[in-house]
Amino acid sequence: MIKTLRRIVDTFRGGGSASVSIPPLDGALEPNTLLEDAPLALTRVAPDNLIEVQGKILFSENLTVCTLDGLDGSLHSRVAHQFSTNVVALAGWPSGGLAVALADGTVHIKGGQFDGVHLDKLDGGPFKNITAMAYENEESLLLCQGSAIYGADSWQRDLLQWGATGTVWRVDLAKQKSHCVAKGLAYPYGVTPTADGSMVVSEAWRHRLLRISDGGTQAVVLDHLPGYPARLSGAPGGGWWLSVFAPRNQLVEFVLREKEFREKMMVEVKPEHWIVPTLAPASSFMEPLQGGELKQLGKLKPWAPTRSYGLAVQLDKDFQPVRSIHSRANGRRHGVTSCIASGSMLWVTSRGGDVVVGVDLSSSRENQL
Amino acid sequence: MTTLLEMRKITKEYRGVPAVKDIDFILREGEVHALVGENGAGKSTLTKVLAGVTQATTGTVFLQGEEVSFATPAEAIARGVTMVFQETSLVPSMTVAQNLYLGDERFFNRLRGLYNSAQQFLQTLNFEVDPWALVSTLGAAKKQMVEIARAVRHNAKVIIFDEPTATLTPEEKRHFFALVERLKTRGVSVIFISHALEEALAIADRITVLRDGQHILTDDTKNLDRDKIIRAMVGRSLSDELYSRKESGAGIRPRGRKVLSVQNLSMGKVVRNNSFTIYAGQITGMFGLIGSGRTETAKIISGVLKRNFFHGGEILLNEKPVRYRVPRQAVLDGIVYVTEDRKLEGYFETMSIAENIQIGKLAVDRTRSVVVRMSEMQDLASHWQKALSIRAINGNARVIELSGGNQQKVVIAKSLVQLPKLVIFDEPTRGVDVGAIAEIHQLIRELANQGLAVIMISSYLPEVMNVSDRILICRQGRIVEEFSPVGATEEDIMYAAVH
Repeated sequence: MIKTLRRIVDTFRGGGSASVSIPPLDGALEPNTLLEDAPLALTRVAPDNLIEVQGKILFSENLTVCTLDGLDGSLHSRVAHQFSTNVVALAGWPSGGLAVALADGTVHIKGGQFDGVHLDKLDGGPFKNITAMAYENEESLLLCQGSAIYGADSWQRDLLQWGATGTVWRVDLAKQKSHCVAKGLAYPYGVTPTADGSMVVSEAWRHRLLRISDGGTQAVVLDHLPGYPARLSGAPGGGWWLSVFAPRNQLVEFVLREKEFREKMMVEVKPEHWIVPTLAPASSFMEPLQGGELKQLGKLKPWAPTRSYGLAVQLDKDFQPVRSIHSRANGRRHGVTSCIASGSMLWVTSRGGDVVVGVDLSSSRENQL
Repeated sequence: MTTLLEMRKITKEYRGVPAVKDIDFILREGEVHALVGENGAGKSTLTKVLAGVTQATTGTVFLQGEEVSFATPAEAIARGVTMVFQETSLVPSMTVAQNLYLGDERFFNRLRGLYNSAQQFLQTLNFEVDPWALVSTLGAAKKQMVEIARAVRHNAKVIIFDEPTATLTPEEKRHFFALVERLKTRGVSVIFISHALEEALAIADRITVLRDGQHILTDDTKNLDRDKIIRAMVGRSLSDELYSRKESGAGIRPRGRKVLSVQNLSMGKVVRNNSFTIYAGQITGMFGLIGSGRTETAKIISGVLKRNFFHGGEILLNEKPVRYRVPRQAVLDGIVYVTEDRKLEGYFETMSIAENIQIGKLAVDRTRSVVVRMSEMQDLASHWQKALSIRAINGNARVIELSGGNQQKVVIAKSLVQLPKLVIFDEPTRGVDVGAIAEIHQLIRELANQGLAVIMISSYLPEVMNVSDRILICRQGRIVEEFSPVGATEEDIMYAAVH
């Protein structure tokens, strides 16, 4: 009752959920150009999910899973596995096994004790849109399904429709059984198990991280993020790294509150011109933002309210931001969908910038508390 | 260049105490002559003698070789000597155009012609002021522009500008300097009084330094630098204290805990979806042009102004939402605002230092006691006088009798007596002499060192860059960018503030 009343008051006063409020990028999220300026980079086409298996860095790229070699400076990649449809998520076991999720809704296990296992449906039906996977133990896999309605390439439509059909699953590979841990999530895009047996899931459309206990109870561990969070990975020495694939934008937030406009836009306007977050910096003159807000005197403003951004955030053991690396509005390395720390290096896939980047963390301490 | 004006052995005494003593001053035709010195050095007194506002006790003034003595400003204006005062002398209830033509009215005035002519004249000066606007509705910067325009309109041979740029934005300052250049080419001589030494060094042909009512030096600008001038002004070098930029980053204080979080704060068209965070133990500099919404944001935070009722955003103090109706509520929560307009909002000028500080304390007095002990009040005043080095005879000295720097310290003491956790300084060194600037900067640094969260709003870039630990840039009612003082250049900051 009180919640309903509050929602009504908020609608009038523009507070709470009705406010078009975007948290500032400051504190641990203070902008820098560490991601944009990192010299170690390998140009690929839409690289996506990064994982580390037995000391090797692997990343997915369209139909392939590639290894990242030459980490000492001469970066290059080699195709390790090839599939007939796009690879959408990866998970690796320390013992060497690799789980590969494909866009057609199947999960393939390569290597390890479950080599050759092939999953094509969950208890609730076939996979629709697997966004992230994580190894929980030798026999168990955690799996996020972003949407039960739309596929991976329709994530913008899911956002515009305030999609909350995401689910998180625990898959027992030995018994070939799956169990839904949480449902009704707004596009879960990252998952990681924690030491206490629970898991933390990034809920992209609600800009937050959720802790989901073994019993299924949910608690918010990090809220009010200034972007849409994606995959999580562990950091050496404790803590985590969170990739943020797009920034929140006042215009987008406004559009998200205008139902009729959204519906009309989805029907009448081409998807590439929708007012939605994107993975790559826009280059079209039909960009739905005023040019003057982005560019003045021929200079693209680093603080311009763009729809794409490059951001990876280091979190402490309590999932609170400690520092961050950025590619700002005037950069190109946007759409960070995955990052993984290995030694003193942080490897980042900029899906929008078509590049895998290595950031030397030992020489970039600016943002540390 | 020929000598246009000469002052010989000018002495002006007030009740037997000399404000200026035996000063010789020469102004050449078509030159810009900067007059610099600390507050109380005698700059204003000397120029007031020249403009006929006051008369010299001894000494003579020669204008174009002819001895003159102006009994009133009108006489000076008639002979081509005009002064633009720091405190504007405009009539608030009249329009800009009426003020411009005040004294030149005909028996029948064609208002439309008057306004058109005023509009054209203001445009030639690049001053964006509406001639139809009532002066009372203008901000300090625009009033200053009207004042300058009025002086220029009188076709003066000598124009004396007393702190003309104190309230102008960097853009407006550029227009002003261009105007001074144009006046120079027309053969007008300009006396330029300023605390901003960079400005004096940038536009003056010669500089005269006064100290304690005495002439210290006069030289061509090319022979002087900032350090030489400061040494002449205060008798010691303050350059390291004032302008030592943090090149290494070693002096930058780390972030403490989050104290204040402002989210989407909105107030009319002045503050628009402003969001930022303030941390303890840090000085957060806030830079922007006049009208960028910095002061209004600070006033909303401290309860002086109210944000929009609908879609007004949120202010979280220590993670708890707050909405103040009056400043006292903010003060009780530990937020104090040190105003930019000390004369209007900072103190009661005819009251003593002790009374002013006591008034500050009353705001946090939860007991609301009716009687205040005189001895307590005096003790409190002497404590703060000592702590902030407020130079006055004693705590009973009236604030109006103090120099600008000491008045500012009284305003600061009045706020600090409230034992704040978050202090917002709005233009803390405006109209303050260079010696007091260093002391106020030091005070601000000490507050941050003690763990307080400090916001410093300033339009003076060297100050922002030297004192702040982080710099927020405000443009069109919102924070658009954050810079670290290490590595940020004045050009970067200005670009962000303007574009």
